[in-house]
Amino acid sequence: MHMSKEEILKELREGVLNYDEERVKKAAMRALEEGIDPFLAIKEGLTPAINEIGKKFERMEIFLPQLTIAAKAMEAGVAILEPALDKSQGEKVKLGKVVIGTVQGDIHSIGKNIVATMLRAAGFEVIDLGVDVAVDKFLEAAERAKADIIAASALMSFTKVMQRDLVEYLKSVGARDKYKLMVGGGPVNEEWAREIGADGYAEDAIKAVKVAKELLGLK
Amino acid sequence: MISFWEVARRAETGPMMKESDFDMRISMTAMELAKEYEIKYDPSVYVSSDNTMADDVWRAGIELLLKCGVYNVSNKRVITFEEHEVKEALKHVVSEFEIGKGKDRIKIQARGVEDSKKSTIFSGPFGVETSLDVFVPLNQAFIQEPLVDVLFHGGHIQSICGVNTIRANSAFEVIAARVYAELMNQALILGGRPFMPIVWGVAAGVSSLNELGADSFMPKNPEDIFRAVMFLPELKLDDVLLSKTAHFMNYGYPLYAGTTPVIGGYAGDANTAAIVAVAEQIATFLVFGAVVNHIGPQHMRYRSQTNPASLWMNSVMGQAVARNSKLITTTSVTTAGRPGSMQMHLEAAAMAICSVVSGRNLLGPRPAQPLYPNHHNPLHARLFAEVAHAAIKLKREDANEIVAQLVATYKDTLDFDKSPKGKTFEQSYDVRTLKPTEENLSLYKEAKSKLIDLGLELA
Repeated sequence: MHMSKEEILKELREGVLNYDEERVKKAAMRALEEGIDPFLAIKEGLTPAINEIGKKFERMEIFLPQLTIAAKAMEAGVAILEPALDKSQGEKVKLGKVVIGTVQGDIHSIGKNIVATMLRAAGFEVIDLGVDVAVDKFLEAAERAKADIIAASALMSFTKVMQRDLVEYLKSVGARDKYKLMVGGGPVNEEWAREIGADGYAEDAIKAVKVAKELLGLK
Repeated sequence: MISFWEVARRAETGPMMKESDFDMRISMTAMELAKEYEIKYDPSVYVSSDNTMADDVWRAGIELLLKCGVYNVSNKRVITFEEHEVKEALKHVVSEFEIGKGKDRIKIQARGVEDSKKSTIFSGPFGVETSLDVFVPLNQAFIQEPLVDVLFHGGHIQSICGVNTIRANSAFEVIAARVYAELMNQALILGGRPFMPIVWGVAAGVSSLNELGADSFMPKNPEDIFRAVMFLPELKLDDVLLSKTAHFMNYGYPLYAGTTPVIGGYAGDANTAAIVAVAEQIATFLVFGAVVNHIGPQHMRYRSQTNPASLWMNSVMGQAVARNSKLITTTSVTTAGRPGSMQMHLEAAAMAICSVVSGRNLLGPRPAQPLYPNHHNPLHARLFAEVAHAAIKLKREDANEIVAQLVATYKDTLDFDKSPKGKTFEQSYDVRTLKPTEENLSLYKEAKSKLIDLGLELA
């Protein structure tokens, strides 16, 4: 049965809003079958839905599990649509690449996971290195992925110092200017970020997306 | 009862799974159970009076633990439990425990809902970066507060030997841990309570292994010192924590175990977080055989624990545990308002009242997200303890009314950019005489007066 463009875009939106990965996948495939511009399907179908999810999360109407499922549904849709994008469209869809991790000596993951999920939902490609990440591992991953941003999380006063070491390490090996560096976490504040020479600080995941966009000169 | 060694064995042999799958299993199972038991969060209630809901949350919490287990992030294995093991373990709960020596020996007890037994007060400058020059006087000022029963961690030393911020697992951390032990001894002696029970270290002090660097210089006998072992949220531990626990057991320390379920994180909303918290409360007892089992009702957005959702979650979870077990429990009180502010006094009072009528002992108060060194003020602990002791006369409905009025005073300034910034210990006390400043004392009296006006019987 033929589906109109509006119907397919609605399916993509509803799939994300209802945390239904299969529905999103089906709608994305249908979009390709019906010859709908994949860029349009992402921009007018998936993106508004994930933005709405982000707002719900910000208002605490939904929580991390729902955010994670919705982001996963969105990513599944993008994975189907992306190969059909032409080069210029592809560049527009991905906002940038972010390598993220919790610093060495620290095994707290929830805050970092939320930021990673929100960045993905906003359209960033995120390489999550997990927890207890050494400074050289951040750089290796950033080089491998050709990342734009390195984001380092710390939850303890005595591990936030590794964010400073990350800055120093990047400087020491001549890589500091290649990446924008964001820091965050419980004991971290703007003052600390400035002191160690990070490019950006955000106190929560919503603001992290805003800061990441600003750092890359995006709206 | 299941032994720690059996738990450790299961941590070596349990089924393997991805950590992200375990996180989502917790989330999804809690949501299913909340639906099945019809457990709903009511934002208009701060202190629940619903016994049926409390009992349902208890049953759901046990089911969650049996379905999900506890995850070892180090080797990706799940420690699982059988229903009969949980039931058997709960029969062996220690509901009374004596600790300390001489006049400072205290009895810590399991408390019931609306119990007339006083809550044990754990307090201290925990989690805050503390400079060496005020470390002893700050702790001494807490020790000299007569209503503080157990000193909870002396703050952590931020800089030493010219190293401004000590790095986890560095050699300086071992030195800091050793100095910490030395200074804690001094503070206890100078404070006139050399045998006061203490909770020695928490995760916010030094990293796990370096905490052991001070073991041979501990102030007293092992049996007088609680050692802290904390799960990662939600229902997770690692090899280091298991190793540390084995060490503490080998040397006969009583354990203080806990975790901080995060509302808004994988624990979900307040209703599902209450279920997760019950599972975690039981799990810390099963895994560690802890004497005291702690929950910090954390909130992802506020990062403090006195917001409406955390209050409700704490009351429901607390009553679930108090009505169905004899576990000795504590709730921590982390405030958005900072030391030396009226808001911190009122937030701490709200959570103290909520917790006491819900069957908890108390830990706190402390400012959330401790960004600034030496930001602690023992006068907050004094009023907090007084409120806790007055609250034993309250019924839950009365407590809810008072807490509602308290929440109304601070609910719009819970975000960090709006909450009062507060003062350091040196700004709030004469560091030489350890007397609070006039301004600090006036604020305490003003806060007390407000609480009396709300109906609390404070002397």
